[in-house]
Amino acid sequence: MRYSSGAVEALIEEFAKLPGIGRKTAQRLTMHVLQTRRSEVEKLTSALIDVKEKVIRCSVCQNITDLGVDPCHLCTSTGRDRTVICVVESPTEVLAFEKTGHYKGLYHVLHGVISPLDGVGPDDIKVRELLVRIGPSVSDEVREVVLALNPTVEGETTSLYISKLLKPLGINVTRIARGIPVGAELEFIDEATLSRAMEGRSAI
Amino acid sequence: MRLKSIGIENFRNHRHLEFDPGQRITNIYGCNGSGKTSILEAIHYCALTKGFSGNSDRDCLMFGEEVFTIRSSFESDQGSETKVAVAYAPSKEKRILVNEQELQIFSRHIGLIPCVTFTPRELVIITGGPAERRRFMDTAICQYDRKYLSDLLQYRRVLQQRNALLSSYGDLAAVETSLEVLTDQLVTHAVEIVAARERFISSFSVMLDEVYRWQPDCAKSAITYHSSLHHHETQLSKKEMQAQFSERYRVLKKQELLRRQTLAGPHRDDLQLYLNGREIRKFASQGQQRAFLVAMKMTMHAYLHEHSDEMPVTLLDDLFSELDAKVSSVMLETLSSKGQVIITSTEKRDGNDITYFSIDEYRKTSGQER
Repeated sequence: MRYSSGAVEALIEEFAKLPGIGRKTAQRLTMHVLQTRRSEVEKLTSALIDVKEKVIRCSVCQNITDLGVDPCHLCTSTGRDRTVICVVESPTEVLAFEKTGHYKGLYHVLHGVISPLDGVGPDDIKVRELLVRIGPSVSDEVREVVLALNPTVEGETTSLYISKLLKPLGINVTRIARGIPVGAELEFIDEATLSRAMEGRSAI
Repeated sequence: MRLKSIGIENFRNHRHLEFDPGQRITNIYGCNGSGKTSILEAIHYCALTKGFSGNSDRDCLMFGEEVFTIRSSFESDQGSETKVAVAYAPSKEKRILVNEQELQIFSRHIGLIPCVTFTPRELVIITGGPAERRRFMDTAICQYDRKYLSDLLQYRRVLQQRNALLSSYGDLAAVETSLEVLTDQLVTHAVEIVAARERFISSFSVMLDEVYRWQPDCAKSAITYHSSLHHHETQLSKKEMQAQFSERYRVLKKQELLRRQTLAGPHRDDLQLYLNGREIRKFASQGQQRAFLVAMKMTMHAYLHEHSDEMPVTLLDDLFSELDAKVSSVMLETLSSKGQVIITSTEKRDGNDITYFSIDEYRKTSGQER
């Protein structure tokens, strides 16, 4: 079924391109927009344009920030421990760590992981920018780099790669623990995770 | 574990078939193309969630039909009942129900009903390329070691990445560190895989030699694991292996860069099979090769029994077509003392305590045309 209005049809097509949105939801959203006041719709359009015009990557940590706020507020904050940098794959993971409220150090976003199969090499992600932050010319005394990448083969490759570059600089390179989620019951954990957890056991 | 009954519908050339095997040995006989192997394959579906290797679900569906179903009932050695139902339609996913509960992850089912098969096409384990023997090892180890499977999958992924890097690099200096990192990862997983395989083969080889004693000429058998990364008779610790493997890749590096692929690792390893000190693939006769494979399968039976509480179900397809009478009767006797055996043949086979099932008679009495 096609609508009698070409404009409605075009908007449905655009909505349906978004991730997680099927045609039915796209129709519902379009009908909603159609019935909303003009001022509200203008707010939405300007918010969409703003994202493209005003969002940039922080020149220090590569996390997303607003135009004019560079370095970002996390990098300039005085309340943070400047001796630790946590390396993550994408901005959503910064958010995940911030939600914990426990980590008080700085971040570095790589925007990807090394994967030769997909043609992604170390120069295609923000590894060089990380080295610049740690080099001898920097006033901040970074003592530890925490690698918080996904426990996949590609995440592992990236972790090992970075640690290979940082170790000679005298930096303490660590990796977040992997194993059993908090609140989970042991009997339902799969065998591979459980054996990894056993290998990585720690003294109490 | 023992199969009590199985019901098949629209599976290969069986429109409808009910089969209740006996306690020990059951002989299914019928003429060529009557569907003897298909019954075994249906049992294989219930035990290991799939047909014999190389057959897709679609191939098992009767021509012109929409869906095949298999309903079976197994009895454990302690006497409790397990009901397994398999249904497949090309338009939907395959569904497996265990005790009326739908199975979400098929791999969880494997190992619950231990099952050892022998089909003539498996002779490639002996006569075919190294990949067949690696598959034999890998499937065997996966049945009792869950971590092995995850190591294997991770190894394959690292290997893919490493080969992608080797095949696409332009400037060596730019990829040097990446290659080093991927090699380190490859070595870490390779150590786990090789260690597990060596452990498996060393105990398997000893058991095989014991099993082989039933051979009249009292032949001496042996299986050795041949790694492309090191050549050591004695077992090394994981740390020593790690050092050796890294060294091996360091030596191979120049060649690997030139040939643009990974040249050594568990994916290129092999098993060597010996009878009286001679390599079987080259020097043994057809019958000897077949007997050796049967011995390997019997060892697998003993090995699985040792690693699980259940006695495995043994499915033998057309076993006797090339074995001499003496060997085959000794074999049947050994096997029947170790749980349920279901065996197919074209002719009725004489023996003590054998339950017979004639497909041709079944079709006559149930009024079905072929």
